[in-house]
Amino acid sequence: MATPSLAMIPSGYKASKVYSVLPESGVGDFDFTRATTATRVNSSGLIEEMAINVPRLEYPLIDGVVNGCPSLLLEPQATNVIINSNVFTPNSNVILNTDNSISPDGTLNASKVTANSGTSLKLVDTNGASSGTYRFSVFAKKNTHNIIQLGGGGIVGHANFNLETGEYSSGGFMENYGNGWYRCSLQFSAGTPTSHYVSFSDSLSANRLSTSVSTGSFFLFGMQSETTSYTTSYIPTNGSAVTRNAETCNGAGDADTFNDSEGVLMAEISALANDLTNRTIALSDGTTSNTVRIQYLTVSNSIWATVTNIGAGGNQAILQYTSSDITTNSKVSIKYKENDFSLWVDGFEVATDTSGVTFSANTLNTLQFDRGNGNENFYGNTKQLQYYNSALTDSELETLTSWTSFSDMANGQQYSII
Amino acid sequence: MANEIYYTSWWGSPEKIGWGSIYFDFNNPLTREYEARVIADGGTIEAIGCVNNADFN
Repeated sequence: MATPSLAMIPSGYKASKVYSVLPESGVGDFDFTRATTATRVNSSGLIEEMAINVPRLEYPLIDGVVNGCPSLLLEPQATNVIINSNVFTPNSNVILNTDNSISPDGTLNASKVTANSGTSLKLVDTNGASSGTYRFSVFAKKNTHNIIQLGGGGIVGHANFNLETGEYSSGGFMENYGNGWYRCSLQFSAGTPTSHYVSFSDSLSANRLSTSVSTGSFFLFGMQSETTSYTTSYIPTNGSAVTRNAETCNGAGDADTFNDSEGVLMAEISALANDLTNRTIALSDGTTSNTVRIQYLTVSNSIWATVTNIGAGGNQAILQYTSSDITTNSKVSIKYKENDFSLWVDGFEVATDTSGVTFSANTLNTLQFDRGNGNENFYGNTKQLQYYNSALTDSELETLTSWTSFSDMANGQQYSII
Repeated sequence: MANEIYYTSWWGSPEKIGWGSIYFDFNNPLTREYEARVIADGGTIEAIGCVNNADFN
């Protein structure tokens, strides 16, 4: 197997930089920006705040336990409009005890919500909510009560969540954060609620704002309301809305790193959501005129690999693959060579093109998590990125994009092994 | 001699499995060089085992 001339395995970082393992000179290191703080899941499985411009290595949680190598997490801008993300307002039918339990950030700052006796609407509320299409989320943990409801005040829309079994009703979603904590979320597509609520529910099929007979309790931490179609990393707030700025990661390599006539770009990646946006990793000349790209795009669950040489007439190869789910990890490689282009995904050659040219000498000079010109930023998880300055054989490409074992595949795609 | 202070210690040649295994450096040369470069530059290293286990390493 050939040795890559550039390889980034998420493992080394400092403010404004993501280190590449190869080349050893450091010319393959990435420039990184994010003008605000942000949170991640660290190697202990806890939510941790990272300083301005510090890249985030996000550790995968499988059934709530860290399992496997971290990914470089790159996210778009998002704003949590709930001005006090960890302050809950109880109605008269519940009792709130703050700083009562260890939260997913590892400190004693989760609140316990206990229902009074009797049949009534039992909920906690928060001020602040987004409008239009947005997503509401909260971390919740069962104590002696296990079914809750999330909704928006004044508009239709709710979902119910079982904090014991991990089941949820239509429209909801749950992520297991370990130690009994789940991040429960719900998307709203229209309307302008004045607030969000978390209420006691007696069943997964309970109607919106139903009364409850429960006298038990559960724990809450960290609410978020953001104008995204999916839940992004937790943005703590304390008195005002907080924006996490978008991240950029680019500028790896130089003209000596890349071969203009042939090569292979490999990425082990997953999308944050199937949100029908362009998200691109590109080898380029710093423009969109000469590029070798791997990208998610506006077609559902599609992975595209393209080679573009505008001076030679435009796209030289467009290779498309439809994944079952782009939010699970895939090992993707594009091979480029005159009249010999191919796309490999998870051990299989899925598309080829036998007509097209590549680039003149000293054209390709940068590898970026965007389209080459700062647009179509790649927002997703990257477990590894490699570049080979020669066209690998089919056997090598099969090896490069294959899972090395059953457990490697299961962990890589974040499946539970039962 | 009792209470004698040794200014240097020699831990022999640790083996991966066997004597001195707790001192054995499991990282290969590329991993070690990468780790040294990052630390010398003031960076932070995490999950170095993932580098050591990379297909190309």
